[in-house]
Amino acid sequence: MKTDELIKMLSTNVEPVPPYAAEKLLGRALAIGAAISLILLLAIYGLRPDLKEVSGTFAFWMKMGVPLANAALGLLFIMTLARPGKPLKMGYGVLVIPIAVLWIWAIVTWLTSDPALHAELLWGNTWRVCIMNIAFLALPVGAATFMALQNLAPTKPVLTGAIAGWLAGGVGASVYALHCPEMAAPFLAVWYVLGMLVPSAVMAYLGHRSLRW
Amino acid sequence: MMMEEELRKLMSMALDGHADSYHLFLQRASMPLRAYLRRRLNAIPDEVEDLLQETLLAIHAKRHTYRRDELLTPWLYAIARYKMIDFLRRRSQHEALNDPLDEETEWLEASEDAVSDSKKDLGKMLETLPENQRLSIQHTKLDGLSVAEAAAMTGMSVSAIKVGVHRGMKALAKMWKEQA
Repeated sequence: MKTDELIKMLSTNVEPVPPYAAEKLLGRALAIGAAISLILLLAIYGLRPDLKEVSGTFAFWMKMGVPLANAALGLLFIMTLARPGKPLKMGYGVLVIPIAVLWIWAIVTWLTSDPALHAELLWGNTWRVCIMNIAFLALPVGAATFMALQNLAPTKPVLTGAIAGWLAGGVGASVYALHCPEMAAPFLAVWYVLGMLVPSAVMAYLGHRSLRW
Repeated sequence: MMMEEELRKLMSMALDGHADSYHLFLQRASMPLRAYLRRRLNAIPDEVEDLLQETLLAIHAKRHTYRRDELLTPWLYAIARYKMIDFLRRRSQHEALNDPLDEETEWLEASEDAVSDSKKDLGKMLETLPENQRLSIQHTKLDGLSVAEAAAMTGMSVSAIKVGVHRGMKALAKMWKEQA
């Protein structure tokens, strides 16, 4: 086939494209995914009964804020990675800042607390289910953003998948925080971070498999 | 810089649905892209036109990832580069499984084709599509009928034609890539 023929074919009756199509696609995916995640939380887990009392505490805002910051940073990176030829405005190192803050808080807590309490601070009562619950609540956002990315054009499929999973994990963890009773920094620094890493690893693999175009 | 300005003007018209601007845009853009691919694939010149056409298909399929307020040439070259790397990766996998001598004769035969011709035939790929997609593309993209005319002719709805074109073009781009 001649290139001119192909060009003729592609341009005949071409459909208009609305502005900011990529941003809208990803924004919608995130909104729908987060809404489903919240509904799942309310339907399956329920809000923690003392939500009102703890909602003013530093620990609660760290617990919500760190995953939400991960999600926000992840979204910024994904918006850039989903479109070809767009240089990143920030280095990838920025992605670990919220985790670093969490870890500093955890280490300070660890060092300033009575060693007899260490086991309690690290394992809490729910470590067995924490990772699984966060990964489960990350699923809606992970699936929705993945479908959006398949319609976009990431030139680094594995990295894009990993950061989309990081974004999904962030949303999953912050939604789970509305139910989860744990408040100790060391617990969050280990189990929440692992919970967010699971979707990231899964989606890096999925990116390798099916984000190529 | 002049190329950037001209292409960008054409592309933003194209994104608003002007087919003539889009036609001109693809023609103009294919020149530097061909040069780009030719420079990098000078050991396998017969593959250049194939890859250029695959790049043009990708530019078309992913045109909604270009944002009107951004530079256009980096976007174009990034797509060409992605397609080239993907092609080289596929080719090295293919080569590892095949007798290199066969490949050699294949290339010798292929080099007899005209330069602006690709060995891949979109027409043949089109025939393998489901009927609603094939007819939608045939009428609106090849015969140049309007969407409304194509709808009247086939008895399909206007939105069914649009969906058929959209899905069909995506399927063609995929087939193109998988046909090594």
